[in-house]
Amino acid sequence: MSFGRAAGRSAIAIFGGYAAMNAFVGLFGALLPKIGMAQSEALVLAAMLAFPLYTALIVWVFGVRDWGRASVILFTATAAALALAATIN
Amino acid sequence: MRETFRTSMGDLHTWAGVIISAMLFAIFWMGTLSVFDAEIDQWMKPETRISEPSSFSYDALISKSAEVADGDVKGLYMMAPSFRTPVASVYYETYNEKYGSIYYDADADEALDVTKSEAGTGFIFPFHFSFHVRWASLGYWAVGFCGMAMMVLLTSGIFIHRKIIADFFVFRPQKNARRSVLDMHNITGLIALPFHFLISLSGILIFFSMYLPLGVSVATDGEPDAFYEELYPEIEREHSGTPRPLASVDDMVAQAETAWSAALGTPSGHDRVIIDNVGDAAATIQVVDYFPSRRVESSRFSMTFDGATGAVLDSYEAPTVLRSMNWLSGFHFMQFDHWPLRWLFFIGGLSGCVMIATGLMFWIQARIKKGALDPLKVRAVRGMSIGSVTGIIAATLAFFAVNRLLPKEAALFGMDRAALEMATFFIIWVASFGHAALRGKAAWKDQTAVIAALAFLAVGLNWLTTGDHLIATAQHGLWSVFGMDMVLIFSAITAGASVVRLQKTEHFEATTPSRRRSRTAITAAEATPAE
Repeated sequence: MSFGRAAGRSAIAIFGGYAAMNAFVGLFGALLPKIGMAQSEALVLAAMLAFPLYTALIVWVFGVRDWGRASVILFTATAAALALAATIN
Repeated sequence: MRETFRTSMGDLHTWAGVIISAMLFAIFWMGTLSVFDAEIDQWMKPETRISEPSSFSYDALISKSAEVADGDVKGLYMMAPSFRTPVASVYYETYNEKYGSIYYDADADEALDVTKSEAGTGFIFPFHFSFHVRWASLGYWAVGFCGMAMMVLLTSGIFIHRKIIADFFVFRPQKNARRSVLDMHNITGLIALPFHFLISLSGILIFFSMYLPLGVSVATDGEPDAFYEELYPEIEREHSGTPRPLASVDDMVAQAETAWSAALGTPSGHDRVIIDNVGDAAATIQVVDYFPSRRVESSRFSMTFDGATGAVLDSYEAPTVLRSMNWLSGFHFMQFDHWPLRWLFFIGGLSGCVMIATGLMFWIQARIKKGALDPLKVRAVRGMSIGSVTGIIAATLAFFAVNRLLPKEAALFGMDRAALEMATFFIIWVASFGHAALRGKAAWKDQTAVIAALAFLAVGLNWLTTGDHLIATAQHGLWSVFGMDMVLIFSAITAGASVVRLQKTEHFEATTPSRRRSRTAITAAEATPAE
């Protein structure tokens, strides 16, 4: 793997994954209170799930052959989660 | 596809490992020592080597604090003596904004004049989670980044094994050195795998609200304050200006503990008391159980009292999900009363250190075996590895030794005793990198010899300056000091034996490539990138 490609993959994995994790926490933390969970409880639960999710996302971005497609999926999911969270709020 | 996935996991493991290992080792090393931070405190502050007090009263401690403090006391943060720390301690704030701390011997009812040192709880423990870089919380973010890297390294590390069960049982110390280093890496990684995962995850989760500001902001629609108030409820009252004496804090503590024990159906204690507006009509007393001795879970209860009347203002119990989070952080902080588990945590931490160190060693050896493609790259990684592994250990031991060497009132260049100790640590640590860069692979042996010498020196100095040698500490049941001396002696012997072995046998950084490739040695080839 060339340095440039490795750096690109790392950036997608680290920053793309971080954005996706935060979007997930935002969505989860906005959604659960609507169905009766306390806000703090929802966010704590989201946080506990978020870091294993982030780990999986990083491993996934490094593991797939076509990481261009992976980054598109990652950004689409992030945008969708953010949009949904905004709608719920 | 499967092969591709495995090789990319190999690349990820190799390169993420090399880049992050130096910092990761520092975190693991300091975290491992933090398991015994209170014991290190007792070793480095000999005045606190008192026996467990037969009784303890907050009311007595409050009047002692008022006596010692420079001005009228406004706020008090008081930690009761525990099974690990016979000394009670207080942080105080006065109405004219002066801050200070007091160590208190409950039996003698006196404030102790304690050697100035950051020791275990003030230096080693915060190093573990912040690298002592407070600016913009940069240190916390760096540690969080390393924690995430650890989880990624563990996951990718599992994927590159073909014979994961076999690797549990394969250790060939007498085979070529490269092989035994890899075996050691696999064994320490696999046997303690659940520990490594859980300790990394729980460590990250302790600071989750710092690491996830965007997510919290999205979920709360840009208004996170209510969330934080819900998460950490606190009763704050304005200073009224009407002086009123405090009611008995001991009674309040007893009341809180009775209520908590009744709620759980089993004895449930507190561990500290926080008072605001001392001597004022608006005084509040908060009794908390951040780290209860009888439970893994931290911060379950909190009870707040009115200072003047002793009436309960608020009684808090953590909700269900937060309690599972608090279990994870309680697991990570490891403050509960269980010595066998404490030692297992220590061993688990050490196994993490060995895993990281052998990972680095294997990287170097694999490059050398391949014909040292880029001697400069190998040299750089070696220098970094030696400084970050043997260097930080030597620096820590120098920190211990210099603590016993400096006179009690030592001060130099405007630095007090505690600052001098820390400066010693950092000077030795930085020097170890320089030494490694100059000496090449011989630096492994040199620095291991320094470790052996410093560990013995620390034990000797402790004896000379305090009179507490092994027999004395064993006789008096001073197990913290006895234990630390024993670990130091054990470390010195192990380091000494390593030096002898490095001298006698083939250096583990063999320069001659081994001719035969063992069939079980698959990961070796696969962990290296296909360049």
